Amino acid sequence: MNFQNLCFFQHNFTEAEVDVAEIFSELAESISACYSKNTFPAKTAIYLFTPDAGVYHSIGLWENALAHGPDFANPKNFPWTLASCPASFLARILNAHGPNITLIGGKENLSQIQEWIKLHAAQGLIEVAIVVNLQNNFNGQNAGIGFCKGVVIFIETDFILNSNFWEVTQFFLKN
Amino acid sequence: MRKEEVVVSGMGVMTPLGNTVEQLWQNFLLQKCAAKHWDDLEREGFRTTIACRLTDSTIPEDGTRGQIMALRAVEQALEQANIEVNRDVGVFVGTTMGESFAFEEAASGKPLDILKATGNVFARTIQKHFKIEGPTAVFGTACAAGNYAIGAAAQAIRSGRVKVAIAGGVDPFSRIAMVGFSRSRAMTPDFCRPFDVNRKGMQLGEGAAFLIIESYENALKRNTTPLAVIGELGLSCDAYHLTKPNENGFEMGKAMQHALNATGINSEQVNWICAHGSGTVASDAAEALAIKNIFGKNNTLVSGMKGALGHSLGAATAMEAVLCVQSLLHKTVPPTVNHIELPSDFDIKIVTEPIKMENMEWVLNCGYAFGGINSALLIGKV
Repeated sequence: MNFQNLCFFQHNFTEAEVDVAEIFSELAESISACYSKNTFPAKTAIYLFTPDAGVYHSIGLWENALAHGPDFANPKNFPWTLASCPASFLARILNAHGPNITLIGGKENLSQIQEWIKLHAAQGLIEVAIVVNLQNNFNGQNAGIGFCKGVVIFIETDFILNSNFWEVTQFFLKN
Repeated sequence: MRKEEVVVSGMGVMTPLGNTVEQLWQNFLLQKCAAKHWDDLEREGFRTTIACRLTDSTIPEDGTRGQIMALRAVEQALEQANIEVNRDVGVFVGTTMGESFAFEEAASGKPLDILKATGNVFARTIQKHFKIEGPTAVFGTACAAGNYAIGAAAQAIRSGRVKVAIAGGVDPFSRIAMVGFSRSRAMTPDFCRPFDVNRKGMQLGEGAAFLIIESYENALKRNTTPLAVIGELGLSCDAYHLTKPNENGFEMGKAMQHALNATGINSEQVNWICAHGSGTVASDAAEALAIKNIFGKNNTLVSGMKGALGHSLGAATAMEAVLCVQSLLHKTVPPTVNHIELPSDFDIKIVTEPIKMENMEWVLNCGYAFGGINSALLIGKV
């Protein structure tokens, strides 16, 4: 197995108060641009790490409940209170039926991700691995500001992960 | 048993049905249900006022609740494992809402310290309390997160990244989740009835469950008797809808099949399925179909634990993993509390009373989450 055609992407969220689904739909378009065919293979996995996905919407949902009462709070954004929502949202758009993983925190998660890509590739579960680092602006509590960067990894049968993952790691370590 | 096998050597729980593994197990055998009415939820204006919460008044109702529950569960697990914690131990945690109370306070204007609120706080607290510096991973994979944590810990041991791991899940009671599930019309007004013809939805719970996981070789060196074997974790994604599962259950079944394939066993070797069984109309129907497709010809026994315990989100599959181990140790399949009648189109065998089973080999612990995130973890007898 071997890495082939690592494709890096970066998407900055700069518009405040943008609908979160729109943000991730645009991100999915950026990721799709990495793949020459129309849709990713079903054996595509998403490995997302984030320090703060869900924070903004959790606070927002409870603010709404305090303002209108729990029985009248707007549930529209409830799925986005879950840190796993961005990865599962991307999976739906990208047709990614492989493992869907969200890790809380920062770059310290890369060794865990590396281990699982290696395992899932060896088990024949994945042909493509998409590693995503999502960071919203939690200090300003605004999900519309922040960034999402990542890499699409195409896996071949003579896959040698350890040496190639160095390049992936360097990308995430860069500010 | 091969020395490379990964085993469980200790377990601890904090649940609405007992704050020790033995209490929890006995209450299951007695078919008790933790659901009760809560005055504070009524005062606060929740339509649904029934939930499964811990009644232990020594656990604070503040932004440390989850951490305290986690520490108490880990203490029990370490004691049972009779293990001296060294600083290289790994910590693997699953959670959905983190310390939800901190977010609720932030909504009232209190400054938010994100490091004390998101799921990482649980791993850091465990590390700090037990003076551990090994690898950590915190899975925010919602209601399947406990399975992810245990599966990751097992893999970290197989790969040699850690020798011993603390793995499990924790979620303190979350008003944010209560509002979300209630307003999404996913909650039952009375009792959670997994796989029942009259099921009306899920019921929120809370708690923590942790397991000590190590290689069999390490357990042998320590002269410890392992409790169970951790098989492989099967994962898949519906890629279908933000909240609804795909009604065909195909990807749920694929996670189950992956777990079987990766562990190297066939479906006939699984004696009991500890189902996700959330009690929602759509999820239970999809899961019943998935089980029928993978295990149908075997008539494998199926139970859902959430009728008794409620749905403790990221802790749920960890609590259920503990019950899987108990089931193997006691050669007994626990019942589906509050289940009365199976829908005519569900072709699965639901357990409604404890069943003794002498030759239990493997059990499958299933957990799914919003967004179609599917997990299935195999746990076997030693």
